[in-house]
Amino acid sequence: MSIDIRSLKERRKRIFSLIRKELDTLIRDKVSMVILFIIPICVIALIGLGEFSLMSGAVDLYIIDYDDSERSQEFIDTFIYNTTTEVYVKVKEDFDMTAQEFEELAEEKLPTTEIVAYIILVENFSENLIVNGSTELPIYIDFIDFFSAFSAQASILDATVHYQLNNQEFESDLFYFPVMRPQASINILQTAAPFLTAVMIFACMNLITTQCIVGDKPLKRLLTTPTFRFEVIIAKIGAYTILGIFQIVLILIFLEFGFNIQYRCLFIELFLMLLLLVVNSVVIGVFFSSISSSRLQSSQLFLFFFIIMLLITQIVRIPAIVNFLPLEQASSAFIELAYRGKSLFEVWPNLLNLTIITLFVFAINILFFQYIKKEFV
Amino acid sequence: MGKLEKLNKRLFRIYGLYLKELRVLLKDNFAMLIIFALPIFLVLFLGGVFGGGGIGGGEGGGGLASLMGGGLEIPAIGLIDNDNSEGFTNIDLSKMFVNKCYQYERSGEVEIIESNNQSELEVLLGNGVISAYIIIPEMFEYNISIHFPAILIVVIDILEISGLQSSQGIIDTIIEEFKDENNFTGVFNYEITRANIPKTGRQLFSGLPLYFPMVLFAIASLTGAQLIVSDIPKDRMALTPANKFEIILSKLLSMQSLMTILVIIILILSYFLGLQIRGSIFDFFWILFLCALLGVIYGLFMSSVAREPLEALQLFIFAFLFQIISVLFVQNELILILLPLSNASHLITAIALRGQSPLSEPIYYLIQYLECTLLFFAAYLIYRYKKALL
Repeated sequence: MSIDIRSLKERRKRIFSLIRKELDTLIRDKVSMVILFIIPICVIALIGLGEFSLMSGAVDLYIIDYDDSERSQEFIDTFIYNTTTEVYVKVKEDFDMTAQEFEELAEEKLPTTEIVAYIILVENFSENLIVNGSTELPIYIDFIDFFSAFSAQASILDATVHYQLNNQEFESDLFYFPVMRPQASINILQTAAPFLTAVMIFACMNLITTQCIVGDKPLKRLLTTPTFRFEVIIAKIGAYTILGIFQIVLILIFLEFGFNIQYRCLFIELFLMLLLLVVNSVVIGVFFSSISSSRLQSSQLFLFFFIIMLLITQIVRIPAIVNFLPLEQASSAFIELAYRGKSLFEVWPNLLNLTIITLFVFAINILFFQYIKKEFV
Repeated sequence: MGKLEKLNKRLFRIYGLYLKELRVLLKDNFAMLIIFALPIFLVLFLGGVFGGGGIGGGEGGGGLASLMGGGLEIPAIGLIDNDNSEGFTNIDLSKMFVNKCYQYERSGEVEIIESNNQSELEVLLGNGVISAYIIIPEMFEYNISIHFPAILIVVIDILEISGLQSSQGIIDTIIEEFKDENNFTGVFNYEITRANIPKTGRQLFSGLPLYFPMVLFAIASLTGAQLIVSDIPKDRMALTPANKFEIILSKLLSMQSLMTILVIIILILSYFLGLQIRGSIFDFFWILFLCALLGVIYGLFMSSVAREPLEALQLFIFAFLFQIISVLFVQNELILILLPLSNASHLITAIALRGQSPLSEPIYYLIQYLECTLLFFAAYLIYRYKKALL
């Protein structure tokens, strides 16, 4: 009895068998299981249970008073006794210095962590306020640590507004106090969840998949059987995607029930979007594995891609590239679905971009594996 | 054989092993290409060679947000002009503010969506179409005309951090320029100097503390993690006069030599692309060198613990991901001080960027030296007493 190995039925049978074989191997690999399932739990717990604040605590400030007037002292007192923000103020009397010496000291200390900013009360501070109703206020803020710089800027603005209200001194000016949306306070895990989920899924799935071909010792023998190369690729993608499904469910459930992250969309919508990310990371991982000739090479390719993607997503943001990066698309779609309550159809640009990259890499991978790759481990 | 002769022979063996390890590493051309390409690409990206970065795409634009090195797309901002009050003759101040916003739209720095309905803007904000909206309140012009401050209503969407940075940055810039042009100094005319930010290489400056140690540590530990476990002839090596300490030391030295070349390339390229730091170049070099050394030693440790290459790689994933996420999101100093990435990041900020003396951070250095020593000897002991090497 002859079997047509090219028939769809036979192909399907072979692919399912290969998927089962891959899953058996993977499930027996305990460390991979730890990476896939324990890392997300540890990381979410670490962030969810930790404390985080964008305002980096108390602000250390020097106020250099060249005026030595009652008004300048009042200004300094507003900072010292301001209860809205935590500010530690030091003045020249604390160091027993002249204003000039104190300014020199402040200039010297500004790059260090001892002070975040210093304010100069100019010689005619009081006179300017009485005669003109306004005065210049030179402020020097250290911007090496921008969180401290924000805190300092906010504290200075807050104290000067208090001073104006206390003394009923006003002049033509334009203020704004930003109102944040959503109004409900969101914790760090909630803020981080979209990016964090995308990073965890992409990194874990991609890195584990980078070993799937290059580290598959029996693959060479397997290819001598009536198995087509692209069937191997599809089976590997299928097997790793099945594992990814469990990882997605675990992460989403742990975020929702462990740390009360509320999803404003259907669970299935978020799941499907993340499933696309899993397929994407697996396809890219399989591609890295196909083109490498050693385990080290494939992991280095992962590292290269991951760090450059992190850099472009977080800092450089080159518009032509950032829209095709899986991390950016997945975290953006997560925000739209889970926090803005949009439907899956409304985030189609993100899904389309993810699909395009996935199909593109998949096509290259099939071509490479089918026609170019000659040697196996 | 005298002690000196023994020492000489031992040094000679280590040198021979070092050369052998170096050759093995350099033989893998593709791996070497990635090792060297990654940091070079990193510096080129941060150096702005491929574009991207702040509003206006350059070093000068973008105010506060670009100083953060933030990723800045063109933000869409809603605008409502509710002011009908009279204050100045011949001018309509609120209209002037609206025009100022449109001026920025024309220069491609913001997209303005004007409306007269706050609910509509709330919906747009909720849907992520706009990242903030401004309402010019009633009595805006009148208040300013009687030497009183006017308070704008500004509502910002905080769900997308990159949008938050860029929208707040552009709102600040528009308001400041409007105030300057119309001489609305307020009671306090704030003359804010943003100190300690270099004129050139700002993205490099802001990305330095996180990305440089990340790349060096990752490359060093990933490659180091395969050095023992993937070394096929090491069982036979154990039959030669070379002892296991010499073998592991030569692996450390050869990998660290490569990492040193990498550190030097990174430094030269960064300076070439305009990086300015307050600290000395030697201190900066030493921090990066130590970070790479720790990476190699972490890798060797993982390689000695692992039973097969895949396991070493998995240990690397665990260590690397845990550190990246901790550095980005965890604030507990006790945890952070033990992590090489965070430790190096702190030292770069304090010593290279702030220009503090290396003696000002003894604890951080001490922990790095201790980690290096302990992990190296732990790796050696595990390697020495391990029975099955393959």
